[in-house]
Amino acid sequence: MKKCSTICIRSTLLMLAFCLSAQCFGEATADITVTGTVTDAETGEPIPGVSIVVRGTTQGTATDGLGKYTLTVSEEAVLVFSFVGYQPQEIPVNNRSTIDVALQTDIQTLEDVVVIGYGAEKRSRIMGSIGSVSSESIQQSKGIVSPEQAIQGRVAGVNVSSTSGIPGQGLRVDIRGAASVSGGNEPLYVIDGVPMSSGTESRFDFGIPPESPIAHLNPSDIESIEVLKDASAAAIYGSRATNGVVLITTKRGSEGPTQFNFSAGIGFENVRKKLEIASSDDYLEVMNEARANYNADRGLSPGDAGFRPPLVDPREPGQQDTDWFDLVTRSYARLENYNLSVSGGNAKTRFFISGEYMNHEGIIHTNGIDRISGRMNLDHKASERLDLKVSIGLSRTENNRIQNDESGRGILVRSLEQRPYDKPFKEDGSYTVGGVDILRHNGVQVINEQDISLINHDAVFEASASLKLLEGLRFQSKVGGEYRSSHEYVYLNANHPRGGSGGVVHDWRSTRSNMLFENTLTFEHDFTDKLHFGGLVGHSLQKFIYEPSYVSGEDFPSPSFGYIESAGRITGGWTSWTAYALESYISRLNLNYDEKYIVWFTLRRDGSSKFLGDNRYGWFPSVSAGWRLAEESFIRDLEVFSDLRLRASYGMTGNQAGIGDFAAVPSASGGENYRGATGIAIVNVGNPDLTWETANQLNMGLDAGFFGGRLSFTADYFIQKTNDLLYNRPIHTTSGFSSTVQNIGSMENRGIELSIHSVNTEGRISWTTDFNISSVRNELTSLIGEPIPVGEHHVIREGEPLGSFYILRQLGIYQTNDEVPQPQFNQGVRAGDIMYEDINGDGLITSADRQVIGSGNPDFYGGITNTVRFGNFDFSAFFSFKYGNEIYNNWARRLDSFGTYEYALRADNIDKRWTGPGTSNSVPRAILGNFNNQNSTRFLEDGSYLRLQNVTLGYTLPSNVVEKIKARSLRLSVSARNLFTITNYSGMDPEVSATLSPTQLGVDHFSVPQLRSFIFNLELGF
Amino acid sequence: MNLHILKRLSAILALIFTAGCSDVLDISPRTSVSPDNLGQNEVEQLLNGVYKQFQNGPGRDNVFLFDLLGGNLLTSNLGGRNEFIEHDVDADNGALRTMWYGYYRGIYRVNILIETLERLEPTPRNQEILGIAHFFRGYAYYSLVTRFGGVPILRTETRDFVERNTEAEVWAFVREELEKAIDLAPDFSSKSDPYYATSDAAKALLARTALTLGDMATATQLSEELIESGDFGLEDDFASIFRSGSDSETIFAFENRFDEGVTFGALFTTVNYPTGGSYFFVPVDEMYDLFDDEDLRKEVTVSSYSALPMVNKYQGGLQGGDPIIIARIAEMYLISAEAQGLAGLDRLNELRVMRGLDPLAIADEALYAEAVAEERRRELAYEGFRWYDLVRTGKAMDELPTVTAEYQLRLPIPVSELDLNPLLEQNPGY
Repeated sequence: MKKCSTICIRSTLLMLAFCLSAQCFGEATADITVTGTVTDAETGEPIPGVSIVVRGTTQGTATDGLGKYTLTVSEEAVLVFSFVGYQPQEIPVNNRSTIDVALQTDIQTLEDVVVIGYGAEKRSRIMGSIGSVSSESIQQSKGIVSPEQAIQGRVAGVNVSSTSGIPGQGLRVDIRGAASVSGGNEPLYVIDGVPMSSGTESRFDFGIPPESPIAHLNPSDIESIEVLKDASAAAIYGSRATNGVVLITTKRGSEGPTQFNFSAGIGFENVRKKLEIASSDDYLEVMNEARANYNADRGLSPGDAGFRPPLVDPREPGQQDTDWFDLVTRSYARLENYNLSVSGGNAKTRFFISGEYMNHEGIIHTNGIDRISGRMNLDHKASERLDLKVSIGLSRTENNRIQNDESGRGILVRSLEQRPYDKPFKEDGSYTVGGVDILRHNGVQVINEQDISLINHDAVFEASASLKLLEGLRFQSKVGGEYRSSHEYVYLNANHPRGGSGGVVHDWRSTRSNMLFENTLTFEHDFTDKLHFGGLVGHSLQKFIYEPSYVSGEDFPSPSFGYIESAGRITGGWTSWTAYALESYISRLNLNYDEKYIVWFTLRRDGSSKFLGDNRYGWFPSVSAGWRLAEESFIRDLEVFSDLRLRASYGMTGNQAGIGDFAAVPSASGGENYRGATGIAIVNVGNPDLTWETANQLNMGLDAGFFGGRLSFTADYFIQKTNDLLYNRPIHTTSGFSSTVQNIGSMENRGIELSIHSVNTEGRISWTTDFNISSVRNELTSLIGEPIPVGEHHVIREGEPLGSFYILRQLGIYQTNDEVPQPQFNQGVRAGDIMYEDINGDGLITSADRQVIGSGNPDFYGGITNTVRFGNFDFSAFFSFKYGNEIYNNWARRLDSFGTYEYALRADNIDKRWTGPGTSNSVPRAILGNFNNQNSTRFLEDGSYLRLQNVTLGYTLPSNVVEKIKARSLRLSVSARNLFTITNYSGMDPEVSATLSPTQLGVDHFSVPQLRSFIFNLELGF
Repeated sequence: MNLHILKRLSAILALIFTAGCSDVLDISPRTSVSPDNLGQNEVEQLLNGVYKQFQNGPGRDNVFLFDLLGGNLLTSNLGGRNEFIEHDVDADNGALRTMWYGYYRGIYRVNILIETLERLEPTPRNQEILGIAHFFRGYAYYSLVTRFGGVPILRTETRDFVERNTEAEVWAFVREELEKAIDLAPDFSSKSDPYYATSDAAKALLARTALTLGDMATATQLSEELIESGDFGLEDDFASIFRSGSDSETIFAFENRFDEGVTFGALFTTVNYPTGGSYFFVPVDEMYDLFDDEDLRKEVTVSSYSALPMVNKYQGGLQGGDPIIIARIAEMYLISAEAQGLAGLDRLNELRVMRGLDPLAIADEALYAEAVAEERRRELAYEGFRWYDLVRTGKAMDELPTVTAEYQLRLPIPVSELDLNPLLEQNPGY
């Protein structure tokens, strides 16, 4: 990299030199006062808030509530009138003192130009499949922490799911189905042209998926999010594009007077639905019934060996049951965010500067995340030929994490599992001790006696210079990157159940660097007035370095000491290093004949340090073509379509995520020490044959618009075939290894996507509806070797989708002993136990009887948004839905165990248990033992839901009121998230998954549920 | 296009396409080496890797698995349900898989070590290391056969699918390996450090194997050799055997240092114990009755802490550091006593007297066998013996109420192994 970074530095200096020598600010004289009114050309109504700027300067004003303005300018000035939703107009003053303007509405302004990989293009010319989210809808998503939440339900073909209601945690962003089996299947995030690294710094397993890789980005800074879905859109990102690409563009300044925008949001969240726990009386009844049944089955009476005596009621007279849920949760969690941005500029220099503070509490005590971030984006036109651009985002995120799920320590589930009569404190005020006084570790104690934080400092930047060489030929050089310094700190003090005798500190620190150096040449040429051609060639180098370190210590003088400096002994420590690099050649060519026939070609060649020898470099081509029928006279003559397009694309993308940087290289590692002497062992057999995972995707699409664009829809059909799937495959351990990274097989995703945009009414009451729905079918089409079981509940098997459940099927309940097959009877199975399907017919229920039943993938999913504006009020309601996915309710194995364990019982199911012939054919009897508690369809539930994701009601104050406080605009709004959810799932929330992995979708270990929130917002512009 | 622009353009194109540094993609790991480079310098390090694997790999429950299965332990509330204690072991039990993988991963490391040694000069030290390698392979297969019955015998490392060998073949292999170890491995007296494997450790394990196989002559001969060697002796201070430090009894143990090992002791100590604890397992009441009050082992074996019953042999708690004892001389007294029948009564009584008990006077062979078995349970409690003692003497079904069928005498092969290796067959009944 040395040589390259020298070049980087040299070119940066060159840019600086250009900048310094250029004249940066223009001049203007002023000697005439112009007044006028700006109206809507169609309705004739005045438009307040229209920006009026003297072209080439920052000088300007805005219209008042009656659409009037006054401005003093030079006689020969040109005024630029612009407002969102209208076509801008430029009008020379020509010595006039009154200029009235009627602005034409522009239904296409918002979607005019779309950011694509390494450039931007008019939407009408794009023939790939790209979903866009505008800053307006990002603004609507109040109370979100990280930007991918803004995509949820908004883009067809993009399935965003939370895994829990813990703020700041990673989300599963699945673009057109799981395209690979490794890793989290997350898309490549590109912020202002810089591809982000996907690593996570959360090293301690809290049962929470790793934090979002873009959690450092302030959603208010985002101008647009583009989701590149098909191969023609994404293939320009080559080996990282199989799971889709998300391009995030931050806001930039525009020419005009300096504008200040301040917003504040304050809200609270609470739990939508609580899980009811059975009372102590009910609990004791069921547990003792289980014991009585056990003894009766074996003919045991008191005094016999193995007799299980009934539980003794330990309660004092009048003792109330403990509500453990209330003890560990806040009654409501607060959230707040404050955001101030300043933007503006003149013809030469434009700027956007912003600052943000965000604080979002979790519902479990001590859990929460806060972020302070700042951004500066500058654009400077150094000369007619040279444009310079800098974008810098800085942030500090502090995440106070909490043990979630079933990670052995999950606060919520472990608290619910306490027996209803267990108490958190003893008479003397000290904690009750898990395993001694109460069943599980005391959640109250855990929360109070630990200090856990993950602090990330992030810097994301890009600096580029774009030089016009000739008309239609530009050279751009860019350096960019991402630096993260991270500190994860876990202190379990001496009073913590796991704090040992004097407290335990785990301290991870890491730095992550991601460096990009990229040069492109873009060209554009019109061969005739109808044949337009354009494209780019380029080269990119990117290197990622990750350096973690760890130290742990124990025995601190008191809980107030918490750093290794004061540890009695250092119990562990290491440092490490890993890196990988990508070298790429990029090219794109597009041809456009008469805006009717459009063809795009892209070709990328990627080399990755992760692969060896001939496997190192790969080609990733794509082609797309489109026919804009609406431009044909025979369609135009029909006067039906405002837009009509047919699109098709085919291309190849790659994947190399989810495998280690050195997975191909066999290696013997150190650290295998005995008695302090160095030990080594072969820890990776390597696989020199390892190669790119590639996906071929065919996409066909149709766009149509009617009634002058008031109704439009987009439909896409796609087939994606992924070959050479990379997977860290479990292998038989007699080999000495539990897994190796291999290319294991092929997979196919087929799907359709439909989105509809409708302007239902216009004028005084405007009402628009956006609807999208997608359906993706995933299937593993070939697999080398045997089916691969994944975790406790899933399997990777040919002919089945990823995320398929692989469990026993419950047929019913044995109503009488006669129904029980003899081999099972011999093992102690009796009437009231579960009748499982005996696949191999051996009379026994074993792992050989597991079968594929359902999966965590939905049949279809989508969202619908209605937005209504009437006068100064605006209202929007956004629903999201998923249908046909299953959830494995793993926590019910304990809270519905009826005797397998001694944990508390869920109230809902106890009365449904089998107590005699005919009493139940679904819920088994109470009995000690594991037979009824095996992984089976008993715990598999329908996970479909319809959720009111967001409702917002806003009021924009009339401009005459706003003017009195010398402001430009003021809007007040209230939003609510998750007001209601319609679902059959019996857990607290259907939007759960223990992991982000597509191979293990849809298992609920009892995560913190999605919360319901109410947020009050103020947006002030001045 | 004028010359000026052409020049500029070609410079830019050159910048674009030469910026690529040909070596930028050659990134090598900095925390590991290529196995092709393993040689003489790495032999001792590979050996340490073998120790480390057998010490930690099979998991913390594995240390006292035969006490869980053998009716010496119950779970506390924190321990939850335990399939081993209930003899209701699911083939997808995680601890079971850890044991299987732990031993086979160790066997892989041994095989790599042996293959590396075969490429090198047979120096005296290399031969010793070869002996230690054979000891570990014998130890691994002893552990596997007593858990699972017949398992695949791997004399070289392989990634092929492998079939199970018969139980008899595995026992024969254990003997073969231990005999090689006795030949080649260094003697205990060369270092007198019980934390390294020696020919004496191989003898102890072979004595145990012979006893299991009914080869009483070999069992007697080897156990007597060790007793008479003078390198070991019964300890006055019974507790010292289980606290890291020096004692005269240990033939071989993993040191299990706190910074390297497994904190298995924490599974016995209570949460509020001075060294902390997880308190998963508690002694069955029966264990308290098994010891007379004057028995010096009683308090060291089972005691109580803040009125809670507690196994007391391991006190490291969450701070770890409890050695994992593989063989000690008291077991040799018991093997000798058992293998000789009534003729071994003196050995039994020597041990009893050292432990503060009166010598026994028994003339009946059956009563004597019972007395030896009970003494073994007392002496070796929580050291991983009870279950297989019951199995090899055919008493498991009589003694343990939850063992009701023959199939329960073997553990199931982990289901993940069956899923991934089509040649493996499950033990019957599972």
